[in-house]
Amino acid sequence: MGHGVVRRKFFYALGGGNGLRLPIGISFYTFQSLSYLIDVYRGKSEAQNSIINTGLYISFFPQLVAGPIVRYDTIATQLTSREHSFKKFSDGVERFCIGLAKKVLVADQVMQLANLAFSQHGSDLSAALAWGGMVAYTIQVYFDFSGYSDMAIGLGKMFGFEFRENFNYPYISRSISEYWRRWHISLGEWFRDYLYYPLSLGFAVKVRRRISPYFSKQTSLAIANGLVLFIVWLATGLWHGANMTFVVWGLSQFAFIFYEQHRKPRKETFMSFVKTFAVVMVVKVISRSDTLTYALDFYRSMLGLNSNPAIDNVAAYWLGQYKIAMMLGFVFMFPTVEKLNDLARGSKLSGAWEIFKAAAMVALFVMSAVYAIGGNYNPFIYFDF
Amino acid sequence: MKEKILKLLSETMPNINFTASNSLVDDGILDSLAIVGVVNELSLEFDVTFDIDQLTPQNFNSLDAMAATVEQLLKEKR
Repeated sequence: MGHGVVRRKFFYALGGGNGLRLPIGISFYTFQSLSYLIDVYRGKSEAQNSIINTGLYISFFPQLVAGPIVRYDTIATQLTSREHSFKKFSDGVERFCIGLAKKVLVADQVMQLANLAFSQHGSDLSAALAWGGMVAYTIQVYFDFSGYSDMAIGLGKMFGFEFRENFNYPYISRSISEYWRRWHISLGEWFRDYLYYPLSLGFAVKVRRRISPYFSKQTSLAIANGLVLFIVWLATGLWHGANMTFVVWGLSQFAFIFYEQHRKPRKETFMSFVKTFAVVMVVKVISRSDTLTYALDFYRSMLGLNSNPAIDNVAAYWLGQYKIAMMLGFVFMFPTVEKLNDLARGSKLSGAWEIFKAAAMVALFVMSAVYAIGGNYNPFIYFDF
Repeated sequence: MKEKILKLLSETMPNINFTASNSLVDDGILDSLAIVGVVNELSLEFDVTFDIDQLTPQNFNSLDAMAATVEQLLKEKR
């Protein structure tokens, strides 16, 4: 892929490096099909008798290549009976426009900055560009992926389907555990229901029974459940790519969640949000890097340890060039619109606010179209997973 | 049964106040990680095996609900 973001190396590895080509989105519809088979096996859903409906479930185009992973039990009845209405259709169109704008107007813009930073060697990279690149990538990956989910959910609505949400403002989280209940929700729930819970019910109990004579109750529980958590996050890392960067990335998530689970309970404050957001951004550098060596070099540049300047002309120019997209990203990755909706609701301005939103939607669509036709369009990152 | 469960859980998971509410899961006091801890403890102590369908918020929202689930499992075992 052109801008060389994250590559699905796992399947290339299976091909022995001979360039075995696999269809885009394979990890999404594989997981979706697995959920159907497991649910039917567990007796949670009835087997679908119609090949047309099964085909529709597996290959429904809006979310086929990059999620959300739609679970069969959430959609089984909708396959045969859906409600269509003008309201639902127009809600779908609105949702689609929001997703398109997120992708074209924010993600593809800040991507230029992120790509610039991550295409340089550590020693050539000023500290300012490294920090800017990290923030830009953090904004890019959220607007890219949640934009795609918005478009999929919107298109689904236009056809009468109700998909579950895939994102819930992940960057406002106050812990990494909370972050994973808000980011790529359909994947987190998939791993929870089809790997974490099954392993916890059987395997973890067996492990604990085996080790309990040697440890205290608390320690043996921490080891048994920690082992399961470790396996789940290793698998989540490998789902993203069979590359050491993703293994380390997954295990870092395990380490944070395990720590959060076992630390003394504390009151969540504004600082919990700041610390969590910092961790989220720093860890994203690993998932954006092609190798661990590169990630380390990038961190060194952020700290000015590569005898690189704090800021240079390149950084000043490019940070200036993309400051508007960066600011837009920063404002809208938090629930700003929701806050405004709450303020407008019940006030005298509520009518004007609705009209403004409708006009903004048209403007967003036109601007997105102009930018997309202008050749700035880039494929979605998560197509590669 | 309820008291026994409370004693067990407070020993292994002292960070969690199991009597804080009757909607432990819905109030966010018990997340999926904590539920799994409870399941492990109860499975070991009462020698029962939970089914995946039993991992619902209703079954873990209160000590009463947990006790009822364990009673049910013990009955099925007999």
